Amino acid sequence: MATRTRISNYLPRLFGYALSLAGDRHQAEDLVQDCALRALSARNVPEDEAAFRAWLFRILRNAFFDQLRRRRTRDAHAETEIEKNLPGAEFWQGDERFITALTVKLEMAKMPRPQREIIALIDMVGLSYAEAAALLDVPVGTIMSRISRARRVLLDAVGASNVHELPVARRRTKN
Amino acid sequence: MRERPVTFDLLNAYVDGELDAAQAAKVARAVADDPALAREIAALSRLRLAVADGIDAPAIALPKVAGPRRPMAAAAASIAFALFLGGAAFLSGIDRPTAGAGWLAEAWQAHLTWSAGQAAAPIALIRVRQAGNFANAYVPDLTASRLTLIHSEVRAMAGGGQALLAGYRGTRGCKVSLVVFPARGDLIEALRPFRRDGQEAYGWRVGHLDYLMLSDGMESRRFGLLAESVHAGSRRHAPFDAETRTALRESRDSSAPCSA
Repeated sequence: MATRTRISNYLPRLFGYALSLAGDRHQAEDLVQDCALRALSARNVPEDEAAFRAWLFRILRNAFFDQLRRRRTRDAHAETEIEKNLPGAEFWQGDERFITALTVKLEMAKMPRPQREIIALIDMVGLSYAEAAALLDVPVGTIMSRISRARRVLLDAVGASNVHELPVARRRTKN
Repeated sequence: MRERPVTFDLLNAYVDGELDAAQAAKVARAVADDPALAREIAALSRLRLAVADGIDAPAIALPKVAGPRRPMAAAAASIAFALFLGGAAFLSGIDRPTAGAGWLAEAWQAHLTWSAGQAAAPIALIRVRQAGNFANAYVPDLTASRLTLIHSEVRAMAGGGQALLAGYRGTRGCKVSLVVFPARGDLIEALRPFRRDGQEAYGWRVGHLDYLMLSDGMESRRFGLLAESVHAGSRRHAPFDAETRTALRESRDSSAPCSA
């Protein structure tokens, strides 16, 4: 399969991951374009699909940090925030009916970048813990605790959110 | 308070299918015995689905590239292009400049040469402005149009003299050159367009300097606005005002990626 087609298959997930990094739709779109440009210009493209996926998302991540360095924006402190501001409760006590795509998207946008990123990698991109660990260059155990804490923060935020989708009224049918 | 049989980390790993068979069985037993744990598992599963469903990706067109870069590709492209030009025959379309338009062919060649190279780090404007005898040249900041200055050089021109070349690169394959050189008498103060296929250029004169902006593959509407803005800025020798920056940003956001 041509590289172009293979990249196209990942575009929505690339965008989702880019958005989790950049937090801005325009910048996310730029990142995907930049990533695609780099991938299409590459001389060595992994044949194996899992390796190709990891390679593609690594390109996107590198592109993001390249842009970050260019803007000389310091975001490093956010890395440590993932270990802070955790809810005190060990388990989530909210109402699962409030967990919808809309509320999750809104609350995820408010999270620190490292927490958005780990959730995007596992739940949007579909990486395994080992693949995410390789991409982020951390131990698998770190991924396990990071995704757990990030989800706990997100669940609490969703539970506390006052934005909820209205139930859709069922259409009556005549017999 | 009763001790929880499994941690939240383990519950997450269970939902993600990351546990080995023994650990998964242990969590499954705990969940079967504890309705609270079962609710948490349900919440985590629903969260995963909601995150995946929340991707609201726009239609993204992949940039067109010639393929993997090969050694000498850039040089070969330049040579082929120069041969093709065959002098002023290149200049066709809506405007034909006067004879002796070798400077335009030279500018195109210079543009193609640098733009075929690898992406480079941004360059500070101040460094470009200090280059050679071009202290008075107008070299704008185009970040409003998401174009970053990444290339700068002073080139010797075939007819004598030097030209300052500033190369800008966008994030969607766009490359724009601004070439400044001592006025040759072919350009006037008003903006003059030169077009051929997907390649566009605009030229004008300010004082004793000629300016040429070149781009291949950028949408005409966007490139036209960009050239008009640089033309106006060069005449005032001032940065873009807020209105211009907004217009450039909107133009860029509503345009397609560059096709070169």
